[in-house]
Amino acid sequence: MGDGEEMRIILDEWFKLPKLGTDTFIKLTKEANLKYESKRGFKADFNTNLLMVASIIKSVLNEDVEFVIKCSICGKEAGCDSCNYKDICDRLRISPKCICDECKEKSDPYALYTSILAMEK
Amino acid sequence: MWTEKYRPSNPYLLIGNEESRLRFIHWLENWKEGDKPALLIGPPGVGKTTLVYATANALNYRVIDLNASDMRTKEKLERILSPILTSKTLFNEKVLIFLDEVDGIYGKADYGGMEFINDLIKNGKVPIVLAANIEEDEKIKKLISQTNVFRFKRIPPKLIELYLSYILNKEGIKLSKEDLEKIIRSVNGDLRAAINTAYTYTLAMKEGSESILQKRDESLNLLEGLDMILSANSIDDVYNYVKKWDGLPMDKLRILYNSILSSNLSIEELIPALNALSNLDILVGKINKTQEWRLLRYFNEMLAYSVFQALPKGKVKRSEDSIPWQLKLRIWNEAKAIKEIGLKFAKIFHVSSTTIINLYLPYIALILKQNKIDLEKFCNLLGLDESSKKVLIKEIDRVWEMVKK
Repeated sequence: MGDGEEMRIILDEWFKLPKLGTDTFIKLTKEANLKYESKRGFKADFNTNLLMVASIIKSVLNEDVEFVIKCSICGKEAGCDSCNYKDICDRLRISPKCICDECKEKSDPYALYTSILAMEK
Repeated sequence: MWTEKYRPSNPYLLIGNEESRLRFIHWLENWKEGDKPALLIGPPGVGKTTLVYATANALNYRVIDLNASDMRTKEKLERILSPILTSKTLFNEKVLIFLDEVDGIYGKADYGGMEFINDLIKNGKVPIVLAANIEEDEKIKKLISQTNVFRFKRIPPKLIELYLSYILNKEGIKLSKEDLEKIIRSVNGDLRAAINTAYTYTLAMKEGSESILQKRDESLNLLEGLDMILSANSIDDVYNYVKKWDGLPMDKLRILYNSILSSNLSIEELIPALNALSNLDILVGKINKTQEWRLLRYFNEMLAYSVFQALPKGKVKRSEDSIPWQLKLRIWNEAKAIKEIGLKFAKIFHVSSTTIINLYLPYIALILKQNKIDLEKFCNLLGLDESSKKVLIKEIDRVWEMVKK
C-alpha cells in the first residue's frame, strides 16, 4: 500500500491495518465505532461510521478506502462495480447490505430476502 | 396510498438496516423494567417508525405515540402518560411509549416538556423508544449515553428496487426498467419517498399525463409541486416537497385555493381547509404590508403543517383555471352586488343575468359614462342598493379607464 492506492474493506469481515498509533486507534474504535479484536483485527459493520473511517485512513495512510457490500441473501459480494446505481449509491452512508444480481433474478426475491432475516432471528 | 397499504405488520418484512432491526426486535423481546430506552437514529424514510409499530404489533404492545408538538408542555405529557406510568393499564395490556422526532423538540423553547422526558427516560416502567433524524446535534449526543442506540442508514438503491418491484407486482402494474430506475435515482435512499413517487407516477401514467419525475433535490414547479404535495402521505414528505416548491407564495395559495374549491369536498371538509388557507393569506398579507420578508420562512412550515393537516387525504386534486386571482377575489367580494346588477338589467334586456355580467355590462357602463347619465338617479330608478351602486360606479370607472388607454 502506498501513495494514492485504494484499500478494500469488506463490510462485516475482519481485516488488518498497520500500526496507526494510539490516538488513531481510539478514534477508529471509539468515535467511528470500528470493531477491534486483537487476534482478528478490525471489522466495519452496521454501527460503524464509514465516512469517519475513510477519512481517518486517508489522513493517516494516504489511502482511499473502498467499502465492499455483501448480499443479504447469499452473503457473497453484492457486485457494486457492475451495479446500475453505482454512480448514485453512497456506500459510506447506506445500510451495509444489499442484494446481488444473481439473487435478484431468483423467483420472488423479496420473499427470499425477508425469510433470510427471519431465519437469522 | 401504498405507504399505508404496504406498511409491514411484521418487522422482518421491512428492507435495509438488517442488523439494527434485529437488534431492536431483540431489545423489545427481552425488555424488562429498568432497562434503558431505545434511541433510533437515522434519516427520514428508512423505516424507523414502521419498525417500531411492526415490532410492537408482533410482540403485542400498544404504542402510545407522541410527536414533537405533544412533547412541548409538561402538562400535556403528564396528562397522557401519567396514568400509564403510575398504574397498570386496563386488561394488563403491554404499552410502549414512542417519542418520535425528539430532535424536533430539542432546541425549541419548551415548557417543561424536555424535563419531563428526561425523568421519563429514568423511569423505566414501560419500554420507551425515541427516534431522531440527526445524530450530530449536541443534545442528541447527550441522549446517546442514556439510551440503547440503533443506527439506521439510507436504503441501498437496489433494495429499493426490490421492494418497489414487489409492490408493482402486487398491484399488477408494469413499469419500464428505465422509469423504475428514474424513480429510484430521484429519492436518495428514502424508501418512503420512493413508494410515494412510484404511486404518484403510476397515477400520472393512468391519467396519461406527462412524467412528473424530478430529482428531489431539484426544485419543483408550481404544478409538479402541487401534485407531489397533494399525493404525499406524511407531513415530512409534504414539508420536503413544499421546500422545493418554486413560485410566489400568492401563486401557491391561488392554485391551492382553486384545487380545494374544485374538489368535491363536503362543507365539513371545506371549512378547515379554507380556514388554514386564510391564515396563510393573512401571513402573506402581513409580509407584503410590513415588508418583513424574514417572515416568509414561516410560510413553508405553515403551509405544510397547517394546510395539509386540514386537507382530507387524497380528496383534493390539482385544478387550474384561467381566471386571474385578483379578478376572482374581486368577483368573490363583489359577487352579490354584480349578481343584483345582472338580474336588474336581465329584466330590461330579456337575457340571462350571466349574459349581462359576461357580455353587456362593460357596454352598459360605457354608455352610462359617455352619455353622462346621473348615476344616483339611474341606480335609484333601477332599484339598486348602496353596495350594488358602488360596484356599478366602480365598474364604469374601470371600463372608462380601459377605453381611455
